[in-house]
Amino acid sequence: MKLTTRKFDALIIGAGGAGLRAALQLSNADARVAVVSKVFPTRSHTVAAQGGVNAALANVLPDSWHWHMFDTVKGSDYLGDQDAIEYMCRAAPKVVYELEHFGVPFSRLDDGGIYQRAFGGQSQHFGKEQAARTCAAADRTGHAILHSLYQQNLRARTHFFDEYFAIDLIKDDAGHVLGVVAFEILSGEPIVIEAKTTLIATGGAGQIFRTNTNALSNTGDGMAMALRAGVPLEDMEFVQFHPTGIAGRGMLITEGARGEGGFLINDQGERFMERYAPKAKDLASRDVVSRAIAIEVREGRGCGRNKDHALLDLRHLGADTIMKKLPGIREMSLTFLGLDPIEKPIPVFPTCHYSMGGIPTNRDGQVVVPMKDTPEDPVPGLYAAGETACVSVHGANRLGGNSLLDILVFGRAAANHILDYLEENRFHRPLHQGSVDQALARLARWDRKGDGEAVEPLRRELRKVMEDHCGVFRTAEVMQEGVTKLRALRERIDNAVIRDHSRTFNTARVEAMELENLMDCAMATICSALGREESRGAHSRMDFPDRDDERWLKHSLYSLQDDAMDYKPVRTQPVTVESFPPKERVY
Amino acid sequence: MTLPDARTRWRCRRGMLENDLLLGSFLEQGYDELDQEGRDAFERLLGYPDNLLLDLVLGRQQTVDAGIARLVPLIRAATAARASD
Repeated sequence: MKLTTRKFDALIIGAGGAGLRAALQLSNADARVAVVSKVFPTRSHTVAAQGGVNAALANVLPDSWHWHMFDTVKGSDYLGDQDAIEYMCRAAPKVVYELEHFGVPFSRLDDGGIYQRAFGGQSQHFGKEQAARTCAAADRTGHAILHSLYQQNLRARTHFFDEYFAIDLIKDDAGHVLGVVAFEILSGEPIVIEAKTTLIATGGAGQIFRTNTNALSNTGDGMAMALRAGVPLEDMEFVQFHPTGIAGRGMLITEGARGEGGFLINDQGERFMERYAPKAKDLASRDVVSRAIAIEVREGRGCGRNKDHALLDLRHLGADTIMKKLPGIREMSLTFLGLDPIEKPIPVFPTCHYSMGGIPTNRDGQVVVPMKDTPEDPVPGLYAAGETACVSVHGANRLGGNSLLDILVFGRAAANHILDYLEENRFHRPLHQGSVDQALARLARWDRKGDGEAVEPLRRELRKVMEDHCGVFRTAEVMQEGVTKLRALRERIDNAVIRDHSRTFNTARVEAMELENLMDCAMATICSALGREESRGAHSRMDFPDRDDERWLKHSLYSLQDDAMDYKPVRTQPVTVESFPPKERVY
Repeated sequence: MTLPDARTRWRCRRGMLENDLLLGSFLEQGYDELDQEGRDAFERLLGYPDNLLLDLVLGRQQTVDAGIARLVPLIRAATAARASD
């Protein structure tokens, strides 16, 4: 069978904000650009980002990129790379004004300037007064950005492979990345897309946890592809959880519910937060509340048939207050749980929201790995940006409003570096058939017939193992048990089969390959979490409750081969300003 | 599964978890019983951007498309039914 082959200057895998921002920069510079996406571009998860984009425009209160940088370094619990953070904070106003020109309808001030709202973690004068730094398009900023970028790309004639699933990167023996093998979901036909440069922008991997806020598509496809191409993943143990997701469903119940006086109870009806945080109680910090819920469940005081969640009780607030002040929460409960919080408490459990870790890159978006001389040698032809990447600007924890900024700044930066690279690398390197055959074999593996476990139960089991063994309650013992369970699952996935072997629109095959990707990302997360014997940012160990800068001010690197852990230094030196040394964090 | 069904199912993969759950519940319970007119309306609904789709199903916005309006209570009922499993 003759394989369809297409050639481009630049290939982008993933059509969320990072991918589309990069594609636009490249198409506008007349590069031949292809974007591969498993769903229609406007159905990417960027659409769900409500908050906004941070930029020190100083439209509402005094501000400076340097204060923004300080807040980001502090928010990262000093694990963020300060050169990348400086670059991002300096570039922020520019990317926001560019968006304005692309047609994003930002909320406005009376004088016509872009309105900016105050978010947690934002300060003036390096940690003093509250700042107002977040630019938003009402409560649908991600949606507005994604749709504007998509329209701009259509205008710039970016080529879209919609509903194509990328299987694996093509890599030659010299380590150059040459594109990707994908298949069209409609026809089931594989295709080789050769490219002088490839950018991975496939978003996060929130689906490795049973309870998460992510769209079903967030299966870490790009991260897993990088792992299989020999690239380690960086800082995967850092996963942002929100304490109150709807149990088993994942959607957020905002802090507003507890702010209005709602409280958490266990199966005895006890207000258990009084034991964990006698003063702040239900308004204690996110990680304290998350951990308290997890401990109650672990110690057998969970609610429901499976005793696997806590309850958020709003009943005492009364119908009036709930309907006036928390209408959105009532609506979500009615729709997704079929219960009215006026009459019944809401089942909640910590929900995974954002992956700080990912594919290691430098601030030009180049994927970097420990190869020859340094811990950060670029992989020629390979780039990554957005949640799938780890630049690392978020370090151990991400500030609100910095994720949309990350995708825009580094999508753009990667594209600019790609343009330079294309100047110097004008021709396609010869295709590496061995690498193509390997990817095709991974696809063909799912044609296997006969007995074997089905995909969906395995996926459910994987997500439950991650929730139980690598969620907000982390100890060596709990995680070691999780690793053992995951290894057994990995073998079972290797022997799984699908029943449907048809070619056209065989989504069972897509879901099977997504499961393989979830597996690799889950293993990266739990091994990295087990390795890091300290608590920092979003990674909190019961057995190592303190931050330990002496031993652990370094980035984790997980490799698929032997599930090996390695480490590299944090880039504490900014580009032009003085370094912010680690301090105890007080908010 | 017929090709149109398989395609429709894939297009219920959305950018927001809320829509994944709403449409996924309906695929499990309700979609199979739709007549051709209902299926056409469902296709039109899938063509909407995610935020608008969510607003319509949650009743925050109304549509003049009678076919889609008929689907909204069915999708909500399927979601609530799944919740009580």
